[in-house]
Amino acid sequence: METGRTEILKVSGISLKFGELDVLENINFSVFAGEVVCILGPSGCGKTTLLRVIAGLISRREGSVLLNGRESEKSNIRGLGMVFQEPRLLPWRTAAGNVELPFELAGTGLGQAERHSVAAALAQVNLSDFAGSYPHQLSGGMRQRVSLARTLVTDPEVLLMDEPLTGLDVRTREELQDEIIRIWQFSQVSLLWVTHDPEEAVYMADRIIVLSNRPTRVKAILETGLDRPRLRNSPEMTGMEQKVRHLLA
Amino acid sequence: MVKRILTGAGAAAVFWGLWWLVAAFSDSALFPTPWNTLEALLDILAAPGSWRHIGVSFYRVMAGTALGSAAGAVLGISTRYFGFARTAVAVVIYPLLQSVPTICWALVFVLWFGLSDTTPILAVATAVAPFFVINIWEGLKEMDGNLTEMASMFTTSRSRILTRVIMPMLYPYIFAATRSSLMVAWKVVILGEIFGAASGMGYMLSVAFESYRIAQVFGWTLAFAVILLISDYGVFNYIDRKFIRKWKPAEQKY
Repeated sequence: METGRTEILKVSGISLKFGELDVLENINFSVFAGEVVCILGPSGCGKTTLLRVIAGLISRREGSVLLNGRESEKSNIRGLGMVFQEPRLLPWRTAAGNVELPFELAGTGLGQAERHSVAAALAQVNLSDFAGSYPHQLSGGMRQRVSLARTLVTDPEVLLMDEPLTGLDVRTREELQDEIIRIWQFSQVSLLWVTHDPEEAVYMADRIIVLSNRPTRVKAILETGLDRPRLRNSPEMTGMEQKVRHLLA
Repeated sequence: MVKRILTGAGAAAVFWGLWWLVAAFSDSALFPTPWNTLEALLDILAAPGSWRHIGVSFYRVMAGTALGSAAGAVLGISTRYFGFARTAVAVVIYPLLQSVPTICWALVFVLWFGLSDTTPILAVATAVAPFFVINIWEGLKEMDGNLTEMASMFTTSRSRILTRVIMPMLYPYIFAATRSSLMVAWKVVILGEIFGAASGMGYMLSVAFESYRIAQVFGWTLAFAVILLISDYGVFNYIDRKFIRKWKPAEQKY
């Protein structure tokens, strides 16, 4: 899939301090329409914090986050969707009930169109048969799919993913990676994906933003330049992975 | 199930037997046998006037609990949104409600409102409110902040986050508060009615007491205990099994 030229998300001059501690230092990068960008960095380097700043969950910061040229504001009307590391489902609601939540929170009500979107989002993540199941009846991977559907239903322009597959077993993780790539290919959404795993970054990304640790700066931005579908453990992939690991070290 | 019923029946029979033995040995008009008490209870239940008194007490319990729970819930929830509410509840309101004996409240209310419905209802409300304040407070402290953060990605409306995400998380706590409250409310209403009302079960109890009809006193006491047991074991256990357990997975985080 060819990367579009439109700059959809522009992060410029983001700095953040927790007290005296510099957490983020002058972070600059852009995400273009229809692109998968991975933010890769060592554990504890502030990747998640950066994503939370972009999502508007942390507001005390310098710099700007522009979505389609406008300063992004609170609430998802701005077209940003976030998938957290944990699925964060409401345990008293079914899968469908959880996917309906964004409409209820937005106050749009649940009409025919919304119910249709809910069903479509569940179908996108292959959970149509589990619409009536409660979170505790679902596996970890399924719960994270529900959480993905809950974000997809709002039709975001950029999906922010905060290590969404951490904590899942390898098979489920690879399955979900492929599924998310499939969903991404069918929709117009751009992905900004935080991970600590070089292999995942190389498999998913069009571009990889490598962060340094303490203070957190952009160390390098590299194009993976790999065709899709990608083959795990192919020479090109491992070569790229070597390069990324080298940058991380 | 059968075993549980048999155990329960056995325990009741032992209690009944012990009561009978003690009553028989004391052989005093001041200690009626279980049979006298049962007879008095049946007499009470057969008299149409009694049901009016039971109804009045029931109404006061419900009205007082409704008032106290509403006040307690508002106070409890406001601690989440307003700093001064947090301070007021922690430093003044909760200690005041918790430390002043209910009977003192009841006395003050008698002075203010005389022998009326208001006295027992307010006594119940003040006794019940702390349960709601503390349970909701606890619920809010234990609350999964991840869920409210997730919700904030979809809306800026705090009221919708409150109704769709926060309140449902508090239901088990509100249920627990309601359950403890009703137990206490019945006890308080009897107390309040003994010297603060001219009707109700407590009033009838005091009338029986003043005229030395001991079997009647025991009979009303038994009636009162039966109501409490039905309410707690019957109604609340049922609601718990049927609805609240579904919320229990809320304790795990997804």
